[in-house]
Amino acid sequence: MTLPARGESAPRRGVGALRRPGRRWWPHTSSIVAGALLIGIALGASAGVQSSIHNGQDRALQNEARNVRSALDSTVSSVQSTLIAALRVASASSPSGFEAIASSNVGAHSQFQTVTLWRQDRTGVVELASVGRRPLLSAARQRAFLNSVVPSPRVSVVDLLAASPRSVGFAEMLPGNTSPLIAYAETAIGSRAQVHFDTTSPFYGLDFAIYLGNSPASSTLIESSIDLSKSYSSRTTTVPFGNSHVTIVTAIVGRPAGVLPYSVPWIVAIGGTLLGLAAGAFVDVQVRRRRSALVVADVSQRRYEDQRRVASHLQEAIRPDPHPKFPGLEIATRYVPGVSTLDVGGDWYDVISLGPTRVFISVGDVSGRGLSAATLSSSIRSAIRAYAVQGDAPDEVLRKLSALYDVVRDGHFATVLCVRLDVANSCAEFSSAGHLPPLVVEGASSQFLPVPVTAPVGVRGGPEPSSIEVNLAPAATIVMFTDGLVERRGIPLDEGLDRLALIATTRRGSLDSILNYVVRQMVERDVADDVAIIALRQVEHAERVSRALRRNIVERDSFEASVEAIGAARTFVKLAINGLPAETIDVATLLTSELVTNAVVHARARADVEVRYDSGNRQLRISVTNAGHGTLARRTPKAFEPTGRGLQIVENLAHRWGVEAPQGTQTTTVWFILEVQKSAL
Amino acid sequence: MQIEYHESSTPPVLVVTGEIDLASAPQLSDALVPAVAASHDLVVDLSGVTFLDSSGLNVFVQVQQTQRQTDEQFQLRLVVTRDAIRRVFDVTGLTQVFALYDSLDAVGSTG
Repeated sequence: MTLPARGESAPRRGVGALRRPGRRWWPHTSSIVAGALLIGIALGASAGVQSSIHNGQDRALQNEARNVRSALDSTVSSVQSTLIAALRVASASSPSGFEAIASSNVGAHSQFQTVTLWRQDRTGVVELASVGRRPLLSAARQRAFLNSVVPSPRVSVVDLLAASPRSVGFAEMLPGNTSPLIAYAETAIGSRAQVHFDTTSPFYGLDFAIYLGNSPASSTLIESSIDLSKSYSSRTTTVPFGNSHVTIVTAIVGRPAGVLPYSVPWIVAIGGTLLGLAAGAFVDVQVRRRRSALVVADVSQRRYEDQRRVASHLQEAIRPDPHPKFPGLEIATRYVPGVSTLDVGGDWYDVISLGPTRVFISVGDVSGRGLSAATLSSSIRSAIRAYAVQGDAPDEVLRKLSALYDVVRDGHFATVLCVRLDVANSCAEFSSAGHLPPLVVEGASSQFLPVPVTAPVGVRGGPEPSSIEVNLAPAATIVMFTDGLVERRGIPLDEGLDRLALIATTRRGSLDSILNYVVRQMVERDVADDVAIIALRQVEHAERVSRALRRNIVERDSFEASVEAIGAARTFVKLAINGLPAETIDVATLLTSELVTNAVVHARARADVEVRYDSGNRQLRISVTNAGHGTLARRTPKAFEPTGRGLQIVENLAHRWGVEAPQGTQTTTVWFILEVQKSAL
Repeated sequence: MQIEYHESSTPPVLVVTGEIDLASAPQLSDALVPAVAASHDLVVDLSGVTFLDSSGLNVFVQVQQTQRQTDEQFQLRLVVTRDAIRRVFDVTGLTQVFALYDSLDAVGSTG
């Protein structure tokens, strides 16, 4: 599928691909294949069922023939054994014994209708005894037949089918004698009554006909369950019957096992074909649907990407200027995008110049994320700019904003903190619409300004916006931020604020380095929410440092030999060099503390502290002099030695240091020099 | 210098604020020695300490050394956030001797 070009025409082209006129009627290749495949399978199955039915029929016919044959065999052997038994009795005793045996097998419902005993000699046959009615065999056939009888494992059979009742004659001769005896019996096979199975019987339709002789002929028909006038599939088997043969025709008339099996091939073939066509149609519909879905998905993907692109462009556009500047102010900012979604957030800060000495700063956070939040954020910023430039105070700006926006209509609300700062007079007015308070840091202490808070912009009700006016200490730093900086799931907001208040006082130096530390400590990696921070401080602090650096200092003080003297000496040094870079002050007080400690502990005498700063070579020299000659060893204590680290600290932090014990003075002076780096501002 | 002992928190925390020098070291030692003896998991939070010199270091070294007589692996756990305080540990080579943490949270995350 060809991806349409980027831009606004893309969706239209995408939808066009849905229609694709002209080829609509033609089924898709895969649907033809699917349909054909199913039809093929159906026809194959149909043929298989057909063949299986044929095989089943054939097996049924074979079985039937086997059954008929075994019935005939048992008949023949029964006849034969009866006749042989009679012959044995006759040859051993007399015709009277023969008659006794024969009579038990002769009668209307018995095996035979007549049994006769004959002797065969050179002239012919002579009847010796007779049981039952007269034989049906005519005198002429009688002689011919009985003369042909020989001792044989197969009983001799004669056809009496033309007689009435229709009968078959059997003759048996025992081997061995010169004038052998022959037993002859006739058995009626009754009418041509046909046997019929009920149509529900599984044997319905399985039929047979038995013919005497080698071929089926109506004249030699012995027995039949077949309506011979009908045609049917049949199987013909010829089997021995005494010394003759019997032809068995087994046939299937009608449908064994009911009608259903015969319908199965057709059902399978027709049903399968219909199924195949239906499957083909189904596949075709699915293929078309999938195509449509792909086109739709493609279109929506591109729409989403369009929106993302617009959103990210907008984010670039509204993302606050990372380096806002205003004369007389040191400003540092941070914007940390959240990673919770790819959507753009609505956090901002904004620095608006109101003239050479006045500046208006807004910080805000639009609820929710996405294009609409970013758009609203941009809109509110612009409105604030317009009102601020007109000269509106922070509370007035918020009052007008609340009339402009409505969370019900816009779908978002915004918390906003506004401050108007007069750099010339070091005073500021703050007003807040639901926003977190600004943090003011002065040296080691910090506090959140109690700025009056009204409802967020877009939310009706609550008190009218009002403002607080504060005078700023020269070195005070104002930190304003959005809630992502201090809000963590599972941690109370107060804890986050306390932590920020502590961390913001930990570092000294440039606002940039302070914000680096704050972000590192407060903003976790993969923070969910956006974080916007702006910190500002009057440049005067930096200027004061510069001025201090240009001024020479010489200060002296004297301290009693007590542990309290150590803290007092530190305070003296701190005040004496106030204005120098913070790091210099920290190190100078630390080293002074060590030296005065030594003096108090070892010399137990007054300590005179002298502070000298030479602006020419930017060197700070501090010396501690006490009465008495002490001995100071420069050494490195072992890790677990509990003392001796004071001078190790001096050694490592001082640019140079030394001990002077002028002879005759009974005093010892320990001094150190720090080089003040301008970059340590 | 002020000391607060949160004995029932997990781990127990000794929060020290203010300045630690020779004048306040005995008070620190008096609070620290029984607290460490009670629990080797004790965390000493120095984030509110604005000044520390070798007198304070000596207290920590001494306490750790004493505890190591019975527990060779023992390390005093100190939360140090301020540059000025960390510098003291750095220049005396004690950064690795104690277990120093950037924050109380960091103690929890490393056990």
